[in-house]
Amino acid sequence: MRSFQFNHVFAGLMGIALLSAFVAPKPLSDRARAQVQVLFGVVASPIRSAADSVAMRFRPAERVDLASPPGTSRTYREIADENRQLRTALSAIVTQFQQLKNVDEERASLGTLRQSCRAMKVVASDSGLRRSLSVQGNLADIRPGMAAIYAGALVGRLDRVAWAGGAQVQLVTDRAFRASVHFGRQQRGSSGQREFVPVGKLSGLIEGNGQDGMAVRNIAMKDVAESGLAVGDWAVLYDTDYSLLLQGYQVGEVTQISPSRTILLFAEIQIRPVRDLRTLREVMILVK
Amino acid sequence: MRWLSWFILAYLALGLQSGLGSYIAWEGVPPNLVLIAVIFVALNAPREPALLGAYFMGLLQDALTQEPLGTYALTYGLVTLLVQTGQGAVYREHPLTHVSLTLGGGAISGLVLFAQSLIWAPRPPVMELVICCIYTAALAPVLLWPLQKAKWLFAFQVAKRSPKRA
Repeated sequence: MRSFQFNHVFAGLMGIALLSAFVAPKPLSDRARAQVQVLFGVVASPIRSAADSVAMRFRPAERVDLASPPGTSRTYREIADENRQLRTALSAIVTQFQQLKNVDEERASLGTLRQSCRAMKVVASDSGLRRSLSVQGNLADIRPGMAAIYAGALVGRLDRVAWAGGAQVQLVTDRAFRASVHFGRQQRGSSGQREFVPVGKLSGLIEGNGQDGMAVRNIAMKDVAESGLAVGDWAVLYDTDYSLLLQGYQVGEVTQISPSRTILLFAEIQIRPVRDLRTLREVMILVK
Repeated sequence: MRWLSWFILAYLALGLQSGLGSYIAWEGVPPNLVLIAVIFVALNAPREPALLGAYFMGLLQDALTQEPLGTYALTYGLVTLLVQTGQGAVYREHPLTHVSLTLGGGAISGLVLFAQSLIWAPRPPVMELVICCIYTAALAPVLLWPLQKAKWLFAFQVAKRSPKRA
């Protein structure tokens, strides 16, 4: 009799799981799940820190030099010159900003991207085969859908937010991630300074490939050839779902351009983030 | 079965999976350490606690991934049903048992994820599911050996046969 009752209970539980996994829309279950993530941060976070310090001993630090064209590196003199120019430009911008602030107090909310962000600590990565990060920090005014960035590029967007202090960031490499992008490249302008130049008028839909990259598959091969898009060019955000401050923000770097194997006459543009997003220690959430 | 031990095992397995998964990934695919814990419980515990234990371990894993809630609960329920069917016929301590059961569990997990992707999410690359399955199976004997040695902590009881009617 007891076994009979148990079988019914277990069949019911499996039925609920089946309905939830295959029929119920995802947001229904997200609120409850977000609370549970926080509980596991206690053990996941120290393990992650330990693994990170071990990994750093065996793996050299990644070289992140976004200003240099691919395959080249700048000399210390060039970097020092560039820093001097940037300092001059920064002081001019700060002064102009201060004047604008005085002229129109109502526009005091104008600020840099950094001022609009809140840092959150990464405590764990996805426990399944998807690409996401569990983050913890002050969640006041933070909502699902907000963009997560780090110095240099887009990380993803917030998918779930818990009241207990945790949230989950869907990475740009997750297979369900979609965003519109434009392309461009860093090159020296007529004044000798590096500047960002758009590559034609190419616009495409970037999709995470579920591993460590992304791909754009909705641009005709002919358009790609005409625009002159090349390996090493940047894919930058051009999506109205994201804040205006993020338009033109880097998503990744073009690593391969080839004819699509599934859609005739279309190209498949492979894009990779500048660094491994799953090993980030901190992400910035654009809260404004 | 001692539920406190089960909870500690589940907590550690999920914590390791979340914290360590991306660092021990092979070809970008992490192993499924929780599946190994599920196999351990399914292999040793009586039917009812094994099924409930696996189901709730799956539910906890669901909370830590992007997959819809219930995916891993359903998967581990099915895996435990499979393991329980052959529980009496296998040599629980043998590494080959651990590898084959984990391969079977990984295959079920892959099938559920694939079937689910037909309705909800974009389709996961089949190679990723295969690598995860093989990688997890390769790790299974290494992780199940110490667990088997420490199974007294879980106080698993061998299921008693019901008395025959006169």
